[in-house]
Amino acid sequence: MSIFSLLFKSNKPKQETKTLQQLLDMLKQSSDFANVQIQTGNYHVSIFYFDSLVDPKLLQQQVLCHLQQELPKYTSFSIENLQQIIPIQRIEVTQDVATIETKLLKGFAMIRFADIPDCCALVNLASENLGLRQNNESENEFSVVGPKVGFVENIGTNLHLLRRQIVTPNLIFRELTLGTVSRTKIVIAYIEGVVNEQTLETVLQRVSEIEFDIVFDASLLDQLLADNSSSPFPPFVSTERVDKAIYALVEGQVAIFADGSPYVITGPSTLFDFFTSPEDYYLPWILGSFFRMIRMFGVMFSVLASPIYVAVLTYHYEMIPKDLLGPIIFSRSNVPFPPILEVLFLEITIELLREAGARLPTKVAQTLGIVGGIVIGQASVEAALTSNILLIIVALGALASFTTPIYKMSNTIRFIRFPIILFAGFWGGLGIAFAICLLLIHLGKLQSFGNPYLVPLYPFRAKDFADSLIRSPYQMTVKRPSYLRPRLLWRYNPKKAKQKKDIDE
Amino acid sequence: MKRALYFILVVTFMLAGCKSSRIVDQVQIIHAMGYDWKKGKYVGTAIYPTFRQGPMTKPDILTTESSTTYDLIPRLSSKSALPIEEGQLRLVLFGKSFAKKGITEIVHSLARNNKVGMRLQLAVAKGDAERLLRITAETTLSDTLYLSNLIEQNIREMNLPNTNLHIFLYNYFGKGRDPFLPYLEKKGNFVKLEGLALFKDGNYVGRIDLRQSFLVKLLLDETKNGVYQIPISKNKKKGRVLLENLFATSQYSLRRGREPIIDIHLRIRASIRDYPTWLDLPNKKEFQLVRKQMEKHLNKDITALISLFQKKGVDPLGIGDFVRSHTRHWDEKSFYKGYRHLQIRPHVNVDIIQTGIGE
Repeated sequence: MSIFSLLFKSNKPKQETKTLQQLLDMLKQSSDFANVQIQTGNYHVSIFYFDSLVDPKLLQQQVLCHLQQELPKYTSFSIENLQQIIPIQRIEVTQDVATIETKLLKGFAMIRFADIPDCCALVNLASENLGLRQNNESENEFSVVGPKVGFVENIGTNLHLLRRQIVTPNLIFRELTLGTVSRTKIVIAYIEGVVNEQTLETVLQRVSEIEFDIVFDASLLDQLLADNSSSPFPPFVSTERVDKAIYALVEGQVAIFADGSPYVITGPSTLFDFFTSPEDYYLPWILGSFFRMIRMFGVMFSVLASPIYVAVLTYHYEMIPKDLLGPIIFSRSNVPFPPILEVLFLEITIELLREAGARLPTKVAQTLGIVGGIVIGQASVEAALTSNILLIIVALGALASFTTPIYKMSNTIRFIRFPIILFAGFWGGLGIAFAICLLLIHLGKLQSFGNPYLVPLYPFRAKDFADSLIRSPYQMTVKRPSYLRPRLLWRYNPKKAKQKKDIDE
Repeated sequence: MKRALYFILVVTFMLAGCKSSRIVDQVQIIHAMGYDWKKGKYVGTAIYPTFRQGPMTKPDILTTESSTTYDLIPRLSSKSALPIEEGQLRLVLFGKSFAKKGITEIVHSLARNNKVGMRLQLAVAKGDAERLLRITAETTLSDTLYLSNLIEQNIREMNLPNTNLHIFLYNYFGKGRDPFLPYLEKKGNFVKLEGLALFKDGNYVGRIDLRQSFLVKLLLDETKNGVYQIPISKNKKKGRVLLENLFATSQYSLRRGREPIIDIHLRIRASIRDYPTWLDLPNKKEFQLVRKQMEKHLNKDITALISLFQKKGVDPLGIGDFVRSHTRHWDEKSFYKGYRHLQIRPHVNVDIIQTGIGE
């Protein structure tokens, strides 16, 4: 480690204090760096900006137009008064070269008067929505009931979406810049007075300590912020749904936005957070709980079905019910492989289909799904490469893994099946038990922003089960989960909610 | 620390090859096993299904002889293409001569075998076990599970008391009780259940018929099924009624003294399924008459059954065990010395709940 740090140190470019002229000379090397000179009245004004970052309409209508019309009216004009003629908010006047550099690179225009060449005004002309999609429907986390608004690649829009629903001055946005090359705007959002201070401190510290060049997506942050980066389990929920992010904030979690990413990271998360869908809250609690339990069962089935098939057929034929023995032996009688190879073959086929389906254009992917699912499945059974029963089990397992609402978690579930299959193939039922023990040990050790990952289960918090395995009715979830240690335990006044106002009174 | 972990990981995966796998389609799964004693030699018969011709199974039979019971299964293996596995064994059938000689060795081996399930059925065949198994394999029945299904069906719906390996072992090893097993017989091309075989210390000592086995069923534990025919008479007219047990409970009580008395209170909630046309059951008087006659008759039959047990010196009802649970310093030997003359009084109470649809 020490050797590497030495290497990095020696490679680091030396930070020199540039003069404004040096900066401009460097920027002029780019063909999109424009320089407009205008002469109005007694004033010689030069405007510098990046053509590719600036909105030309703003430049023409708000800056050039006003400068040309208003400036000749003044006899003496100081640069500080620019705000009075240019109708654009927050015009900054500075001499600091570093600020000028970053602002220019963010889409600001630099205005300079010839008589005071050192003092520059920075006008924000950045075209916020240039090259970004307008459509903000949440595509990957779909829900039939409830709002369909999702986050987009523009951080301004995302923050706006949050502010619209959390109407309180306690919603705080803290801005940071990350990435030595990308200079990405990162916003940490939380509700003051609810969020635990220690958690917030951890988050702020972790984010500010990140050293990286380009932050492409929030999922990069997800990995960089993780407590244990070599775990297959995602440490934080990342969602593109506005309602989910808002719910997390209200519970006392912290949300992290990155510019250019439609996903928001919320944390500290627990394992159960990955299996809750916003739809659980939009349906009556009985239905919500039922579907949540189906989802949990789906996960268990998806992880364990094919390992159990391998274990039972390889080692524990005693366990097969007598009516199932015939069909199983019959369907396997012509298969030349041992069960473990049979399962691996089919599981990898399904993974290939999934991977191919995700890479292909939507319209082709549908056809591929049908071709792969039906034709390959049926053909491999008829060619006696796999048994009928296994085909059903593997297909159901794949289907069940799709019920997980968070995509990252469903990837994890896809993955952890394979080591368990190997354990089952080598050691049978004992191997499965062993693998599950390892999994539980790992989950028990995991942390998310210093919070235990397996919390209401371990450490056991009986009261927080209200919204974990089942989605309890709203009068039972008045309190925020205690494992987040929120500063305000009550979400709203339960006494007021209980009052039934009668029309007769 | 890390190195030790890697070492364990490598070793465990390398040792994984040492466990022999038994892939389900590469073993010969036997469904029933028969034991006989013929001409001074033990004969073992195994019946197993073959699944190779479509969904229909074809039963196959393997037989072998040996001078001991231990190497019957290894000897069967020497005749088979695939290794023989007894993990799915559903029935062990003993020939009568074998049962008379004693089934102790087999029972001990089964009790220690971790592959076989405790719901395995044991049974005794009149004549050869092999012949019975051949019937199920070769005639129209053609089902490897025929005999075990037959026994289970009769336990569930008819007169056979609940039995399986677990209950047998409990009766066999338990102090103050003797085991019993279903008794099967060949009838033409079919196999018929003919009652219960009684055992004393692992040796066959006699049998009772299917009617009596219903009484054993009533006396042993709570039951919800079984039928029993009872003769009935009124004004010199004679006939029979068929009683169907809906729910029966038995309660034992011990009156201590120099000559202890055991009272068995039996309460049967029953329906009368069939009765002669001259009987007018909706009539309250006749109803009571039938009830009284039924109770009297059942009392008589139970007394006869118990005295049969006492005469043979077997205790399938576990009366010794019951007395043991109510006496300090119970001694098995001295109890069974007096078992023959022990006074056991049944008190039957029949509740006729329904007699079918009618006015």
